[in-house]
Amino acid sequence: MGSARSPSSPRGRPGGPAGPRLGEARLLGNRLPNSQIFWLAFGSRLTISVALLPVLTLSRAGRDAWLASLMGFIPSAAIAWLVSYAAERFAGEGIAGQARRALGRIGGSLVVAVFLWSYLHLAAVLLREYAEAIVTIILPTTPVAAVLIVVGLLVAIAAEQDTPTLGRMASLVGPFMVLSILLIALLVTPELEMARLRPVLTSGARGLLSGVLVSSVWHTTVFWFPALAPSVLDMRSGRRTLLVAVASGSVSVSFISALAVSALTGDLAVKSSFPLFMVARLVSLGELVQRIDGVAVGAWGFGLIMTASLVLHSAAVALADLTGLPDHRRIVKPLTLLGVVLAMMTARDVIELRQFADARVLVPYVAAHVWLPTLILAAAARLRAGRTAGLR
Amino acid sequence: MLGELPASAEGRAARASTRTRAALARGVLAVVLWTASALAAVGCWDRHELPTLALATAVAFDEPPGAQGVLMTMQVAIPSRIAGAGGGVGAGGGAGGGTAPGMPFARTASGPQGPTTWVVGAPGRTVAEALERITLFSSRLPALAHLRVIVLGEELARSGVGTLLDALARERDFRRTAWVVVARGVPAYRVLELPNPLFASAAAGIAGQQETLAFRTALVLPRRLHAFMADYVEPGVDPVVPAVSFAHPVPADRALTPGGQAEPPALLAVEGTAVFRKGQLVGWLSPEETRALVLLKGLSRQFLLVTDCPGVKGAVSVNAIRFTTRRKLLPPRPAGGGSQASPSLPRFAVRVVVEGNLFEQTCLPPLDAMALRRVEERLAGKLEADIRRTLARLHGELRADAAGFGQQLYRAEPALWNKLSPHWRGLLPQIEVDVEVQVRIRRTGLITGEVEPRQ
Repeated sequence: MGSARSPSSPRGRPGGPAGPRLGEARLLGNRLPNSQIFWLAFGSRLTISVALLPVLTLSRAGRDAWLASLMGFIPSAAIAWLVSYAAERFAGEGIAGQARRALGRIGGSLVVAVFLWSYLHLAAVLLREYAEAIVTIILPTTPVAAVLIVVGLLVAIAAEQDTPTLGRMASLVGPFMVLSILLIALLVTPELEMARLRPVLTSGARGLLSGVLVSSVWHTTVFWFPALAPSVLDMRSGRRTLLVAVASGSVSVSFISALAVSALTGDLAVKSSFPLFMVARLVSLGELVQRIDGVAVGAWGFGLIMTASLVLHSAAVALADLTGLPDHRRIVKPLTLLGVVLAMMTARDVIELRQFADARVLVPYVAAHVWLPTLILAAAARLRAGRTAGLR
Repeated sequence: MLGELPASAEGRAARASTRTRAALARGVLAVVLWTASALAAVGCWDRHELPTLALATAVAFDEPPGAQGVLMTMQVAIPSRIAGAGGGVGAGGGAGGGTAPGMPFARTASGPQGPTTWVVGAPGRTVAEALERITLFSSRLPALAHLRVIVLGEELARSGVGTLLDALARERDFRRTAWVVVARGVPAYRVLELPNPLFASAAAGIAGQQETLAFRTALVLPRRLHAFMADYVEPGVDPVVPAVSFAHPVPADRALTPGGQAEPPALLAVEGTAVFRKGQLVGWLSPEETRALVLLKGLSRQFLLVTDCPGVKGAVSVNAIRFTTRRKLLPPRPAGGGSQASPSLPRFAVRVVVEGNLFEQTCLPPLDAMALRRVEERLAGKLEADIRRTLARLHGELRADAAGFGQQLYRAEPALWNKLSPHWRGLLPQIEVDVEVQVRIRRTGLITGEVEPRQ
């Protein structure tokens, strides 16, 4: 482990507790149990779906987005498995420790630097997307910067907390998001026409592949796992939980895609800036039950704060780990400021933001910035672990 | 050691005091930051006080006379009057006439306590420009978030509503739950002026009427904006919306109202259905044809069927409480099968099962079980004939696929649809549709026989 203090425990106990210590750590609540890992991973995936539903709006899958999401489970699970591989091999290490043990000091530091940039950039993109949505939907004349600053402040406060605190927040926010989506689905039932999902596979194999890739790209949000690995209560079952969360995410995204297409039609759903919000706007059960679009915006808002603070927290922990800082909290505020400025600079307008999020740009970008370093780290960890076993 | 104890205690106390002051300062800073943020978020740029808003409850779009673009008219609620108003009756007083060239009118529609709504319009090359011009002579900012009804003018609808739909889909204020109607034979803005005796405004009246009709009859096919847009963008189906017009009631008897009574206001009447060929209005369906279309589309609702008594004098009313429509895509008929349809064209089978209750009968002698079966056959035959006639009109005369057979083909056989879609409208008259209707009268109401005087 690097010299940074464990994010979960102020006393900095390295490694995952084993045996009798497991129960003790669970009772103390200073480590991430599986339920919190699930809600962190699942909630962060759900946030993107509630907001943009990229597999539908930013890929070529069209009305087959629901199928692409389901098929996307396989590559997404592979990514989640690879992302958490080094963490299990070098249990108890932070991301810098894992990378340095696998790739050496320079190589490891480089990989961590790439991860760090990706954390920051993801947080910036999330913040900007939310700010654009608020400005498009609710506050059209409010400057994006004002929204970013307010949300940034909230995110900074959350990111400063210890990892289990974020986990507890996720276990509150996650179910709220699920209930919100189910409520919208229930109330919009009269408007649903499942036949709109047909014909299937009109987008062809390339369209479906595009959807699978986009789905996998957004499942990559679980790449916070190696940074927070020292806080995981039980690494082996934690990795399994990560896979369960990815599977649940795939099913949920598939469900939301099908919901959007069967309510809005394939064409209007694909062209919607915020599909679930548009679905919520269709709810009209007499005079009483209308205008529940605030539920979608609220669910997204809570999810965004959770996800953005999780990613920023991971960035702060990774940076502290890399530089040997004793406490991640000291760098959260500067990182948040950086994230907010980056969010403002990441795109000139919403059109440019969408161009970046388009499959043709985002897939190669994420492949270069996350998938490749992850693969290198996992491969090196495998080789190093094998060599160690051979020496024994 | 003993001497150091008090000093150490003092030091601890001083440090504790410093910590308390620092915590307090942090708390104050947090409160100041949060208050500033909250104010910055909503208090500066997007502040809309209710008294500064003109809440539009209905809009009408017409073709501006002698100009391109759109004439947009809004019905704006007057909140102080509309609250508790039991029904706006009578022609409006208020401001008449336009206030500037090209601005057709500004009217008020009255309620018992005075005008409840203000109807105001202006032309523009686009919806946004018309809206801006309305703002020029409205003392409040138009707010469309409470829109309940969109009325399309006949001329505009014939020219095409495609460009209009862009604004309706893009602008966040337009809600897709608003009802859409076409004004038939009258300018759309006139519909907004019409008072309704049961509602405080024309918009509320039209919306209430559409909501009621959507479940209680099949003679009308109410559509919300979203359904209209969905049919507009989906391949192989054409949109339809109800047509509304004016009906003039019988004038009051002057002998009964010696003081004299103003001419009664016109009534809003729903007159069949406007059929679009994608974005353009191409014709109208009668109420009976609309009912046939409802059966073809399988939209669940109740409706009434009336027919002559079989073999005897009188009439029978059956309240259809539910129906199911099954549509099947059949394989093309083999060449030489005796059909007029081209062998390569798909065929469709439509089977409708209507379930109803006897609502009323004036047959003499009253209907027995056998006669009821004959009523069922008669009603089924009538509905079958209605459906065939409607299909002939839609496919032959209007070349519109309002029932969505093309959509059904697209969903089931996309490859075949891709081949046929460029010529679909031309092929519509040749599409063979087998129609079969069954009517089942399940109940005879609270009595079984007839109500007759004792001999």
